[in-house]
Amino acid sequence: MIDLLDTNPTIASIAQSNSLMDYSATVVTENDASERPAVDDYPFGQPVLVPVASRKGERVAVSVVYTTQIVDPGMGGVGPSLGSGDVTSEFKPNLVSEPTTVLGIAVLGTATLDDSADGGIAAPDHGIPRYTLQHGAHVVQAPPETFAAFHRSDGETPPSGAADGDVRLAYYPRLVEVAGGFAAELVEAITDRLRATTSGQDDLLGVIERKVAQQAAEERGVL
Amino acid sequence: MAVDDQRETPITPEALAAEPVLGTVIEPGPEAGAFVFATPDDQQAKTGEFVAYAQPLVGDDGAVERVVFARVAEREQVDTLPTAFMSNPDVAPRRVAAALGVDREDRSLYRITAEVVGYYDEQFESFRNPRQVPTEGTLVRRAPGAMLEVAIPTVTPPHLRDSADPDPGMAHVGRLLNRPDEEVCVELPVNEIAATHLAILASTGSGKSYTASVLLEEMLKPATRASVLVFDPHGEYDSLDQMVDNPVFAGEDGYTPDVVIRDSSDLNVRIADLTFSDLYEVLGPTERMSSVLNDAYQALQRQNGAYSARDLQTTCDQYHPDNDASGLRWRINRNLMQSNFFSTHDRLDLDTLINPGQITVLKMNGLSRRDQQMMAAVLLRKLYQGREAVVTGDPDTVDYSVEHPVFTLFEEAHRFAPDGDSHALDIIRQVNSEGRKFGLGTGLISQRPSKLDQTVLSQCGTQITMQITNPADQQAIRDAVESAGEAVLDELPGLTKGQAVISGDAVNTTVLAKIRGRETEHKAESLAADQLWREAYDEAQSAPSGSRSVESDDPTYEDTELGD
Repeated sequence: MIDLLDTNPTIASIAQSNSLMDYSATVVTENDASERPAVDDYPFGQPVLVPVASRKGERVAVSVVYTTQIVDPGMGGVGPSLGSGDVTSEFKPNLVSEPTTVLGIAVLGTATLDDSADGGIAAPDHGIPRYTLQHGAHVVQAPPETFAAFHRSDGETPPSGAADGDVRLAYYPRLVEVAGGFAAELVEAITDRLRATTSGQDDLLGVIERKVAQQAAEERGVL
Repeated sequence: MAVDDQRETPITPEALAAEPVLGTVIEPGPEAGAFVFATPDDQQAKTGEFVAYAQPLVGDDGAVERVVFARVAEREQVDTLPTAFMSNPDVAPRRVAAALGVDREDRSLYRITAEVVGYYDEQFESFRNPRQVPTEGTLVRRAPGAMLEVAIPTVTPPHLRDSADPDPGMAHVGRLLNRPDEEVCVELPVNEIAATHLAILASTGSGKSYTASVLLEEMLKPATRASVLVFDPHGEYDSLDQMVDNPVFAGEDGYTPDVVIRDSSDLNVRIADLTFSDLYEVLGPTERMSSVLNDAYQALQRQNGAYSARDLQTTCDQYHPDNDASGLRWRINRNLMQSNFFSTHDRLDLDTLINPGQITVLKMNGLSRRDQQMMAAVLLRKLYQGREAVVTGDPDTVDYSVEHPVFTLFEEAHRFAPDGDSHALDIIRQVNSEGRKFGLGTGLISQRPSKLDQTVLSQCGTQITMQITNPADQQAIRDAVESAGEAVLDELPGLTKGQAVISGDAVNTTVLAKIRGRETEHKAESLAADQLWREAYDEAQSAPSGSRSVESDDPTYEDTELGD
């Protein structure tokens, strides 16, 4: 049942949250695992899965990496130090050099883990997640087919106006809030991935990209 | 009194409450007497549609809740989709909206500006202005058809009519536009139309003679049995004779309408019916001749009877034996004696032309414009004098007394009452301004309102206006038609064939209507030029051609020869 979370590489663990939809996760270091993920494992727009621990069953938060930040705790230590001579220049008690990378994770929605379903998930929900993610929860790379399955509207009543099988990005207004200034590029990164994994949706994805780009250009004062 | 027979009024707040709610009032509108309501329904609140709401109004009887009617004037979608959603015509914007999590069905919302028409006052049989707009939150509903059918025509509502009263003659001209077919009848009181005159204004091809025919059909039905005279310069009303055999027009007492079609060869004007001004127009005399003519005319008038052109010549000679009249004699000979149109005896006896239940169509297509005007002037004068004499109780003063009201219809009215010089203009003006008193009504049909005499047009109390795109014509309607509000004028270019704006005395408020289908065939369709050309070409091809050589080796020619 939790195959998806076991079989895909863990790239980070949840460290902090700004809201129900906006989390920070620290990238796995040598200290946490034998194999440290490379930068191309968590690019801008990388889809990830985070387990949602609740008593109501195994659900997973489908999310994307929307920003990164490099943090060096040692940065605070740069400056004049007390002491004298050669000793102080080498003396660093209790401190390990551990600069790390923090990922900004935007939650798009939730889905139920289901091995039998296409992409390993079922019942995608683009609404705001009801429960928080847990501190320390593993952030796992989402395979492309899982990400595509999350955006399909099969099996549910499509909203009025939608054609059968249309992709859905119903989280869009909330994602813009979380991703802030780079929302347009983030949506484009998502639509790029969807274009590669879905068929017959190019026109619709194109209009969405244009709309998002137009809005961003207006907000940034370009237009 | 048959009070027991009286049904209850259909216009009650309770009856209105049974209708589904269309929207909710937001605020007063931009102009006095207007208000704005919100509705998610884009189908029901079309421009020109009647809506209604219940409102307590303080009157003589204290606060009474009344049904107030209003008309949708403008509509505006509140939350339109961003233009970028339309960037690819192959992708419906609603698909984009749905993909981005916006459900249009839930969000579409319209701001509708409506103008208060008023509440229906049964005592006055008309709308009265409540002088206040609905408060915010008032529920607005579509005005029920049963209420509109009572409130729109300017007649006593059916539930208040004494059963002993004759039914008012109602002309069912069509249905209310915007409503599903057959829902709301538009009926016009024939009395009002005949008394206050009618104008049918429309561009070519938008159905003006069709509409007139519908009205004529209604006037000739057993319930009305009108006496109608049609001046028809194009011969478009021939098919009305189908009414005679149509059971729709048959009365229980054996009545069938009498349809008399008079060809132009059958039309003439009696010389004795011409006024001096008419003679002046026909003969075009010089100043000297004019004096001779006047003397002769006065002398003949004193004789008080029919006279011929020769009589006129002779009388001229009598009064001016010194050959002053020789030029005039020549003119009388040329213009009156040699004309088939002017005659000594009358072939247009009013007794044969106007009778109750009879429509007479004067096909004037063979006559010159001057003769058309002359004939209209002569006939209208006779009718006017005949009616005036009967109504004022002095029928012996005229040759013809006309015992019943008469409705006259002028097709291509700008020929008879143009904005300029016409022989018929004075009498048409007179009939339009005073005919009401004497039961003489006119209907003017024109495709060029701007070419019509504005006084005449402004005296037409009821207007049926159809599609008009020409700005000059729109301006003419704006200037001349009092009851044509801006809303009506805005509708004119957008109307399609058979759709009309009905305004004026016959209706309590301007309505948009779809004219009903005719019972008789319609003849005024445009000619199918392409078909006629093909036929003419084929005919020319099949006929032996004198210009071709006999030795021609053209096989078609040979065939033709053989065929012959």
